[in-house]
Amino acid sequence: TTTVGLVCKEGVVLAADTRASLGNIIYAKNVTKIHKIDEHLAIAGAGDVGDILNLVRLLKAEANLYKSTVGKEMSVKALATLLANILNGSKYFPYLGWFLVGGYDEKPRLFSVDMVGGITEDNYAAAGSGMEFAYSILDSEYREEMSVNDGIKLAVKAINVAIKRDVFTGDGLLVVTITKDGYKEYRGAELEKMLK
Amino acid sequence: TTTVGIKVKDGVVLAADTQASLDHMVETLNIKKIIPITDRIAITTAGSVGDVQMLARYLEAEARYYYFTWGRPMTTKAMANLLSNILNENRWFPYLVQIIIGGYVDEPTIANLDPFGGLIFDDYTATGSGTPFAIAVLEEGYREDLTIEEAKELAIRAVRAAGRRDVYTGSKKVQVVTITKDGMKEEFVV
Repeated sequence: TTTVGLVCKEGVVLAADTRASLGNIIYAKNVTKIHKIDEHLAIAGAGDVGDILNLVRLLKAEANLYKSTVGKEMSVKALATLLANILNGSKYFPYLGWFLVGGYDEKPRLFSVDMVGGITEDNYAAAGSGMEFAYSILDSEYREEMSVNDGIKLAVKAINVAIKRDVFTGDGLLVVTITKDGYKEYRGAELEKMLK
Repeated sequence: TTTVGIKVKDGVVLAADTQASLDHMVETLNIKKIIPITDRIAITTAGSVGDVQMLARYLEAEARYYYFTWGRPMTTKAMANLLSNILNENRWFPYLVQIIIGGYVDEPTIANLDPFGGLIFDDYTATGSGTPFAIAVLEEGYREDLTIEEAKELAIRAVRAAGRRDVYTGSKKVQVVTITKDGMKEEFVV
């Protein structure tokens, strides 16, 4: 798996490959690794699929509950903190996952959250077995205040390098953008069109 | 890695993918895993590249020496047994290899060798991380009366099947070596 996230001028971009592997076996070729938590929140997960989906279900419910009890939408930082608290609470029997939490509240924000709940806020981040390859692209080509369109192109480039060089990354791409206009997914032919 | 060997009436076919991995990284998609030893015997390589290359040099020298001593070329069966002995002698500090040896000297021969020298002569066999996927295809497609061309198609199909499902097997380029009574031919299928 390789996942990347970028903070751009008008929104945040998340991208991931679609390969699921079990040991050396390619178990599935079209899985979704970026999950919508709310209209303005997303999480990209790398690691154990069962653990990640379990957390995603929990966070979706929590985001909804937050809305009805607090009366406003959950901020990106609140979601990252909530996730980190859950992860840290089970640090001696951990959820096997590494996460990128992205979204748009007053502005686009991105956090990476590790297996035991360590949070870092970043302008760009990568996670998963192919993260080294993705980081080398992001480190050299990320610019602050880049447009979402350029962000998509850079994210795809980073994932593609990982697809090429990391054996556990491959098969396909999913890109998610979150701007003040909301949540959008791009894949397949639609994504190809965006890249032109 | 996935390498396969098939024996038919008119000769033998060896095929292998061309991806070299180091841990989880793809090192290159352009490596040769089938090494000719004589003009009529070749081996496929899975496992430690350095070990296989070392063994290949050793076997090549032994084959030449055999030819000068006895005035006739070493048979595939003889070379397979020699290799088995070498591997078994190094039992406590083994060469980390899984080798298919294939040749047509007196008759078409295919054999599979494990790191400790276990030697199995067979009609078709596979080695490497993608073995289960390749074997399934060979099992379905193999018949004794295949032509060389058909055997080649089958071998390529087996390696490709592994390439699609095994992360350590490349799915881009396949190296194919056929050995018939007319000699050895190598090609790359994209």
